[in-house]
Amino acid sequence: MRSREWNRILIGLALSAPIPYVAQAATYLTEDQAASIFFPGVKLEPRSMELSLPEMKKIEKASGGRVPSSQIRVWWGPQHQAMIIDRVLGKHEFITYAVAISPEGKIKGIEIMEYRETYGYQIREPQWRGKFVGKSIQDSLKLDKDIPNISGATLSSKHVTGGVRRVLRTYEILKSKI
Amino acid sequence: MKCDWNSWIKSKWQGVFLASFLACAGILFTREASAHEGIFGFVYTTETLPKGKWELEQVYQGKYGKTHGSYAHSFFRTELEYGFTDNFQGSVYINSRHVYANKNNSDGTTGGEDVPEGADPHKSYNKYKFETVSFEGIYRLLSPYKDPFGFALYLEPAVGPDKYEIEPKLLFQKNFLDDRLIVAYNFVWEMEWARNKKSVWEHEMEFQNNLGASYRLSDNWRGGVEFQNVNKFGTFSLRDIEHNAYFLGPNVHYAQKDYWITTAVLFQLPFAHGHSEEQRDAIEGGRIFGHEREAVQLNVKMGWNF
Repeated sequence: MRSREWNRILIGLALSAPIPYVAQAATYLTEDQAASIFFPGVKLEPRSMELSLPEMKKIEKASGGRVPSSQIRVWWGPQHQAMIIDRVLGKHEFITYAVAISPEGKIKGIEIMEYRETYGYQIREPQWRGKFVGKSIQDSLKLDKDIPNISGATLSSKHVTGGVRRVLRTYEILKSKI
Repeated sequence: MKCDWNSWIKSKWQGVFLASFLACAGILFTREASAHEGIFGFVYTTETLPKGKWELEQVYQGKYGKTHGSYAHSFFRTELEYGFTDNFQGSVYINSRHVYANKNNSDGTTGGEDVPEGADPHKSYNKYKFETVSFEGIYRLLSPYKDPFGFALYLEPAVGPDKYEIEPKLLFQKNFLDDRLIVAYNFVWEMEWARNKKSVWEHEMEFQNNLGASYRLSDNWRGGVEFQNVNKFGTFSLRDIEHNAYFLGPNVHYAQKDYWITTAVLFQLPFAHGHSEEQRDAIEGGRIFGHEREAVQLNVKMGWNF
């Protein structure tokens, strides 16, 4: 190998050396901000709670989704209203979102707290998130049935919908423990 | 299998294209990119670009190793994709090729696929050339995220000064474990019209069965395995089957919000079958070489969305 040939290669490599760009997660809401949106004027107390293995299995069977951790952090209100922060898989990283549940076990709202993907950001739109309001464990919460799919954001809408379905069932079990 | 890497890199064109390939990588690392990416090297999933989105992709594919001498065959593709609807994307790409061969024939001469008739058989051959422009369309009928499985139709015509190709594919995808595990299968039918070394137009075809599995290892990382079965026919008649070959190997995929890159390697398995004496003569150690098969295939591709 002639040195001239190696020099040409090395110059090419040096000129095209990649400059790493580290993506920053887009954080839209903090925990306190989410709590004040869902329950204005209500003091919520954060509490770490543990699910037993049979409880996790029960939630998985009912919701059709895997329970990623036995540790659940819940913000409880004085009348057993609650906010649960959950995360589900996005295309590359996790989507963090909050679910607010009324004492009757119905969804008051959901908020996307962190979203790190290039596509699928339509799940943040109030029109789509509003479809969850009033839903309970009596509802199927299935994509393309009672929750519309967002064309071009199917993965994100599918995973968030499945996550909310799991969170509702988790709430019912945790409420019985307090 | 032998590969004279030093000689391969000697070509001035290798430095140019290595630099241009990495220049694309440099662009990728500085700009926002993809949610639509190729998680496999050789297998297609059924995912399509969202409506109105573009993607630039740079692909390098290398094939290395014959039974004698040195051989390296590099394929370059620069692709621009556009999402016409959420279920239909179209692409255009420029394909080019570089061949390095040196004493790769069984008689110690230099020759084989893409080495022209007039090349000196007693010297090494080292040449880059533009090959074809391709157009590709993928139409997704079923989504793996909301239907029982994903299914899409693929069509790619290619046009060049010495070659015409048309390649329809059926693409299937099934996801498991909350979409952590993705399995894809492609049925490929490739038809080619090519001008041979004597400027006579010939035609041939291949059927391929390509299968891949990719598992989400952690945030941003996926790893898996790919399998390829190639069935080569000397003409467009099913009676003219020449050989069957099989390949297997790993893949790894890394993606961030800004870019993605996939690398896959396929090793030929020792289960090749020749359907004529000429084809059986090209089998060594259970693997077929001849003019069109090598010991190893490497695919590196990078994508950037905008």
